[in-house]
Amino acid sequence: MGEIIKKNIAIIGAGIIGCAAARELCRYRGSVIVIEKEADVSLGTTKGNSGIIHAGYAGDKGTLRFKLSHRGNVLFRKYAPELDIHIKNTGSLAHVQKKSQLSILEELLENGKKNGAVGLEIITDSDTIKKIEPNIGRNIYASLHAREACIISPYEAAIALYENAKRNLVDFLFGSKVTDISYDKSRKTFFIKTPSQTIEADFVINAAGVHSDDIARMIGDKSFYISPYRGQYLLFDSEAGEFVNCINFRVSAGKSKGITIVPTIDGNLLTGPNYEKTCKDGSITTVEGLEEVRGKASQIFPDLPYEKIITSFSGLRAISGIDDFIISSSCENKRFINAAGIQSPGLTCAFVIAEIIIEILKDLGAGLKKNSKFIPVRKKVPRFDMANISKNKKLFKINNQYSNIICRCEKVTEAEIVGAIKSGATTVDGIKFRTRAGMGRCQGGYCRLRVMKILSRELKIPFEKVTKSGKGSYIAGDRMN
Amino acid sequence: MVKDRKYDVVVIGGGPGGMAAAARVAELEIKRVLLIERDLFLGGILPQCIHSGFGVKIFGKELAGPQYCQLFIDKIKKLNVDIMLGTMVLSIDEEKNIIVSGKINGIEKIQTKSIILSLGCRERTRGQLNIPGTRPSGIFTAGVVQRMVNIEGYLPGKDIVILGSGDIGLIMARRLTLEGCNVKGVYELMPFSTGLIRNIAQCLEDYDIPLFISHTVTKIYGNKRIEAVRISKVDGSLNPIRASGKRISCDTLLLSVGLIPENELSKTCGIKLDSRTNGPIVDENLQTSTEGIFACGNSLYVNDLVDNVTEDGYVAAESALNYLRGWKAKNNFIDIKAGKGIAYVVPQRVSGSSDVLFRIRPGRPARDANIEFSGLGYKKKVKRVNPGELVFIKIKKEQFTKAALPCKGVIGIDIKA
Repeated sequence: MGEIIKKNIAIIGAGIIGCAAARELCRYRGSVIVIEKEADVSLGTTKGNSGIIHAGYAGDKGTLRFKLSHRGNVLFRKYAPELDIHIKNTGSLAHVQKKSQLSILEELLENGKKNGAVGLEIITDSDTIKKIEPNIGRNIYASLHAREACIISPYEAAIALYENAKRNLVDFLFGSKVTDISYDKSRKTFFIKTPSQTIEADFVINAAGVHSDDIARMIGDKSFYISPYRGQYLLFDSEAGEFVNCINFRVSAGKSKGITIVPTIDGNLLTGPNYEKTCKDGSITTVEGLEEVRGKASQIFPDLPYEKIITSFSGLRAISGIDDFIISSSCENKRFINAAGIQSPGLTCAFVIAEIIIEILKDLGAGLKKNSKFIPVRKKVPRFDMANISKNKKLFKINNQYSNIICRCEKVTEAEIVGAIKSGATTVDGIKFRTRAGMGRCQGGYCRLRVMKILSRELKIPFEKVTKSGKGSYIAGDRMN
Repeated sequence: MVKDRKYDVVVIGGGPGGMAAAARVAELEIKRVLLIERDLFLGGILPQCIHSGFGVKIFGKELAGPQYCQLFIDKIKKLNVDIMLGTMVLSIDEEKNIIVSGKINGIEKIQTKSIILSLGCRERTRGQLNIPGTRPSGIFTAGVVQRMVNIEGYLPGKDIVILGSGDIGLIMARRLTLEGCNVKGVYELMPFSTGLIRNIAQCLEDYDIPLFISHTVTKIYGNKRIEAVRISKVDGSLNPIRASGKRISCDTLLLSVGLIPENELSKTCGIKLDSRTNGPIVDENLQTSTEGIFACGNSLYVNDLVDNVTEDGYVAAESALNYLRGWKAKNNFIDIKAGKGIAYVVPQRVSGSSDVLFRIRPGRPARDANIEFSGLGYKKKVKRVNPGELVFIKIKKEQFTKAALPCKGVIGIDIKA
């Protein structure tokens, strides 16, 4: 049977939605636990993402995806500073290549205005477009400029929410795959089973990404299903980071927003994703998929510096049968709340989705009372800053680990890595997503063994027990005699 | 340990190139010399190269990497060279001010009259090859595994596939076999091996490890740890032949697919780089496009043998001393153009007023080839050339004056089969 844990609210899934819901619940009294099958937050759909906070004009009218997107943008910009989430207001350009497509932009603009978005403008003058994006191709007919669009790092956002939730006493169970859920009607209690624990909870929030339909099935809810759609990306060296200045979309008639060419918040250049149906563990890259990304990106940026690619990756979109977000009590049990089908613009909408979940809980009489001890502020470990030598000197005086550079490409110091471990990183990928160690052009060639040694030392585990991303992903094999 | 923050020569990088340069400067003259190394020990890659084959040219005998390294460490310690370990150079400005960061002294500024860059190289990664599939653990570059095995004392796994026939991959094929791993094969994309011929014989053939040329990895399987790779033959244009694909199970994939000179630092001070070598453009004195900054080692171009790195270190050291004596480089250089059959040539420009040692990297294997210097009227016959082995050709300065440079300041070099 294992350990028994009793909580008011259990959240299944520690992606951006699960973490945002957990953090939002910290504003109220009551005990919360987040159950995650992976070793860390953000390892599912959240990880493979374009990192865009959309301006709020896209999507079919009448859908939640459309309705929530502008409020999502506003809330993200409001909360990012207190959570120390690095956000940059780059604005976005959606490009069309033919005169006949101008009406698409006009419709998007109208939709955006209705949604409350400001700073929307259609530009047809190619000089003006060139001024914003000097490297753009000559074949652009018109572009919709949206000033409110921003870039962030999706995993940094999830990590920030996790750290703040943890500080406000939310429990996180990692490496705990939910295998069964039962409900005791008389006690109004869910029993959530993992291989080593049983969690008893009054309410459940299902934020399990591509697996949210499988989780819903555990209480007999067959009202929706999730189809994973893969998106593949190419990531370029920071030397190509200034190739574009803002978020660029190549508008297509299809379902997704089309290929994007974006600067990342960490100074790289990213292009993708394509859109292809796959299975739930289909997060792989393919020759054909990456070719498609290249082909489409080249249509609006013909001179993309492909020789500067440092890696490729893919992510999954959790797309529900109605092609919209499902944020509501389950038809089988009102106390079980689905937050499913969270595809684009799910990242943008994380905070507003969390707000809706709270409203549902309040309506259910969950008795949410204000938590006067809520600490809204999260501070990340300061970054060693190449541009600010005097700041680094001050950091060194406090802690000499700040002058010991472990990752040479991204200039990540020992202090940042130790700080990441203290705030919850347990794996090499956990360090990578928190500090960027291993994300640069040598892809960990220099720092991986050094990071493993620090993990081994700080977590007091043998070197060979350090993993890339949890159980099964060991790095070092047998110790030699 | 560091007495003064003002130096005559600062050598950046404590590998074989940097050690040779620092030692030679201190041996020849009484100068204020500083050697900066980011690792906690000197030697660069040598301490992890525990196989033998080093030093035949310099010491007249075969040594293991750590032995070769120790001879230089002992020498430097006896000389008047300041050493900063565990210290990373962050930037160099136009006045040759160097900003460093290290755990002991924090961030410091160092002033110097001249600089020798010996920054080493990094390995090409899976990301740059764009191998499709999942992203599990168990995929390593060969040098990382060499450090893991020979310094940290851990094996990477049991069933090994090696992609690329670069020298480190070949060396590790043997090393892992000796440690009881099952090396299933070395797969090379090109129709020829890119490693030294002696390494093919001594590391693969002697251990019955198969080498498959014109093959590559086209897919990676496994979610947590790598479980298998798909291997496909490639056609004449290096494109995989779909039908030839087969799945080979393994728990480790080693990549030995090329080395890239590290020059992020060179870029911070505006040194011009050669897109062929990925290293600085230098003259016969190994001076870069910035006066008083010299380059050697694998950040200049990727070497096959450490002995050559040491010799380049000596050249850079002597040039730095010449520079301190007030000697100035000419500004009307003759450009050297790497032509047919050649991947790159170092130096990329010459003054024409002194002897020049050309280091020529063949682009593809050839037998009974002619290496022709157009404009110099010089030709050299060679029995065979191989991309894994540099060709060294020394041209006397008289040859440049004799030619009277009808080539308008450009000398082309071609390998003609």
